[in-house]
Amino acid sequence: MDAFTAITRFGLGPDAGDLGRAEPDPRGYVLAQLVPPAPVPDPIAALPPLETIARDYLSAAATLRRAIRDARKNPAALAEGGPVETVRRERNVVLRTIMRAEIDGRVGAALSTSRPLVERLVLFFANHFSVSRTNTTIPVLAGNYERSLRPFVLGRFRDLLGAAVLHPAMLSYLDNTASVGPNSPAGRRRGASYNENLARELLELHTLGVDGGYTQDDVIALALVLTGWTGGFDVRMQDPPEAQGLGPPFRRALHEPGPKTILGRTYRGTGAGEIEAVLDDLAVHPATARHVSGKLARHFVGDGVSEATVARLTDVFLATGGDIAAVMTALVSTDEAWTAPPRKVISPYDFVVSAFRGFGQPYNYGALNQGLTALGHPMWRAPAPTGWPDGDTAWISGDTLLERIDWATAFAGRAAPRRPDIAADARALLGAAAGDELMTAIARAEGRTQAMTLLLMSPQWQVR
Amino acid sequence: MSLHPTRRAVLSGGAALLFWSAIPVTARAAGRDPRFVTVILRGALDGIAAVAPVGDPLYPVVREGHTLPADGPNARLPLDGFFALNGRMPATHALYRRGEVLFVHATHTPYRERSHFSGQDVLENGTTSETHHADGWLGRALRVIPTVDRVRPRSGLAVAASVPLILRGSPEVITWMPPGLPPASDDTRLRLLDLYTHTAPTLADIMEAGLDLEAIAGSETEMLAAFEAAEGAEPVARKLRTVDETALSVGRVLSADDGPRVAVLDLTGFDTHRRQGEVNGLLGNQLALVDRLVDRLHAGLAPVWDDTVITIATEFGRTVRINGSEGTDHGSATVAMLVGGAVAGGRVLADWPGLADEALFERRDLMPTTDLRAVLKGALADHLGIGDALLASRVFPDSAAVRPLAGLLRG
Repeated sequence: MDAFTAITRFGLGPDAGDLGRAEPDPRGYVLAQLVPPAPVPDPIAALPPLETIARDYLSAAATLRRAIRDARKNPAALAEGGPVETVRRERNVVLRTIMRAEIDGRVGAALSTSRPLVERLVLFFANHFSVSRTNTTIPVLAGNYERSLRPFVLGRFRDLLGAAVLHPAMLSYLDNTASVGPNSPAGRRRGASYNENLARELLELHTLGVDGGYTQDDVIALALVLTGWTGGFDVRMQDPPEAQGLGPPFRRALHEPGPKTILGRTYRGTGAGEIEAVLDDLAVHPATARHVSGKLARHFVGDGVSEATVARLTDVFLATGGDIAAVMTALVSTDEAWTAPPRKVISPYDFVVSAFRGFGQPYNYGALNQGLTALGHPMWRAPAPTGWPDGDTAWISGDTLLERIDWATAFAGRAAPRRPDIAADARALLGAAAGDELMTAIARAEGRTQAMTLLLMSPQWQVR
Repeated sequence: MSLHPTRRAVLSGGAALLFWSAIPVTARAAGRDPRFVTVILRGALDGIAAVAPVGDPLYPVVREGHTLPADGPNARLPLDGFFALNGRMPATHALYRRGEVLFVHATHTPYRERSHFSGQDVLENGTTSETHHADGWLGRALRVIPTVDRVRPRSGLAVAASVPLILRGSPEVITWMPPGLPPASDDTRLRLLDLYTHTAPTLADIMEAGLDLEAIAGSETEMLAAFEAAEGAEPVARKLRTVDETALSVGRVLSADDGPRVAVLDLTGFDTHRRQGEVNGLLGNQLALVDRLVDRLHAGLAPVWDDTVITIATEFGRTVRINGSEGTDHGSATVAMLVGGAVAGGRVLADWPGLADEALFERRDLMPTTDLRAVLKGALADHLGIGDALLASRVFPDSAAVRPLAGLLRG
């Protein structure tokens, strides 16, 4: 049980201050971070609520939609430099401003947090409930979506589940906004129907897992339960731009009436309350307990984590009704969590953030963006609803390792010249984990930039 | 400017050698707009492999198996009968023949230890101490540059991610980097592969896959050989592109009507401890990059070439003898270069100490006989018009005893 493991395996990476704080009692240092409530980091608290984002973005979007509609009568308006292009640019400015603020907030929280483990859990659950920027709506919402999970990461899984599934970003991403109950008023009027996307992922990815024992009928029934949930984040063309904003999240006119049976339990057709009842049951289902516990254990300790540990976490999950803090406490309390050798290569995002944190570099959006793009980890843009891969060496291949070295060199080029003694930095950041081979390599480096590059790319830094 | 006494060359074995004679330096012609570029070669360039003392009878002895070939492809390029230039530097040689390149050999800063970090700090800070980090000689020079004529005050361009020590203290520094992620040097990759091989075999395997290497089971020199063999055309092309872009941008910025007249850039990868490959291997490739840089700077600065001085220097040299891994270890004196239309070139300045054991510094390194600061002072005095007193007190603190070399530049 050592302090370096405490700040890497259960934290955001090497940091001289955190290492010192963890040293007297590494396990205690980690457990202390799991005591609810998790304070909201200042950079997050400063971000606007969803209602404000909705007003700002939707009014710009509405203005654009109207301009496009008006251009049907006046095609000249579509010309380059014309009014439509101007309005589109304004909308893009609103979008970029919102996104940039969210990114600054997320990274700012990582750089200033006193609870690195909480940040890790936020990232974990945001990936578990992955939402990706596949259309125009989601870039606006992705940041808000992720931070809407924050109040619950040390609470109950049920609350995480509800916050994730019913957020406008998720409803848009998995096409629930276009899902209509065939027997709903709108369904009958338009001949519209439902899609299974969110329902399937809810069962397969978010709760029970692919072997969780659900059937095709369960998927359909759940899809019908979900109809009507559109999130309310859309442009209402009948209202002027200045009156745009977040609408009601559930629209009864699209909702399939009648009872639905899922996993042998029948839910009465009460409308908006149906999904809450279904989520109540799914959240504490044994398959969910096992699925989520296994993912947590593998995320922190590696693919080779023992079946015994996963079973222990599953028991705690079920006994506590899905209390994440309790499950994580159980994990941190095992010997295996501390004795398992480092096996997981950190993700590009974790790497880039750890570099800024470790060397106290002010956050540089350009460098962050360059790193995430070059290393294949663009923010909030996982390639599939399964989220970013989480295996031990998922993030590292021959090519991406070489790219990391290039990014590390560029980072070191900026940060190293001002640091008189890279060897001292290595000892302060890695402590007892520094090792003779690395210290020798640093001493023999051709210059400070290379020395810092070697430190950033060392196994101690890259693998936890 | 004052006259300097003629220096006697130290002969070793009777070969004719160079003197440099006193050349009275006239005041700079009015109306000039001088450009001053400094290139730092990081990693300790082996001066003997770059500019070889082929006229020294001990050269083939101390560098057995590693001498520059007299014929064949990449044959060494004659300079003055005693010294020859590495065959991978044909563009530099062409400029030398036009009198626009001057080499200074057996030169060194006052630093006498062998740490890259400290050596580079002394090279950049222009003092005798490696702990001085507040500012550098070029930054201080920009503070005191006279604003007479059309010498543009006071700003410097650094091709770097952040202001390098050499330019700290300048009233204004613009930093610029070529776009995109420049590739890490082969040297860095190799050192990491070395580290992974000993401490993280999984990462070593992955890295070897990325480099298209077979699993390396042999010695470090065998690993290096495999590494070289696997190096494809693409990484080399990327490196050349980076050098081209950098040189072009420096040329464009410095040739513009207004803007910096001083620039600093660096090249890394000279720390050739293993299989240094003076002609066809690692070091040869590095010198080819230097040559490319000189060539592209010449092109980029063409409109102002007659007003240009480029100084190229490294923190120290390498051991006179080859080590057990076909490379060289950290040394002392080495070669420096001045390149440009304003340079009185076509010669090698050297107070050559010889290669006999008793003539070496600590019986291992080329003995320093010219303080590099004398070279830099001479260039700054004649090119940028900075007076001796300021050079001795402000630009290179406490260096009154180091006389500026006169006659480095065309009068």
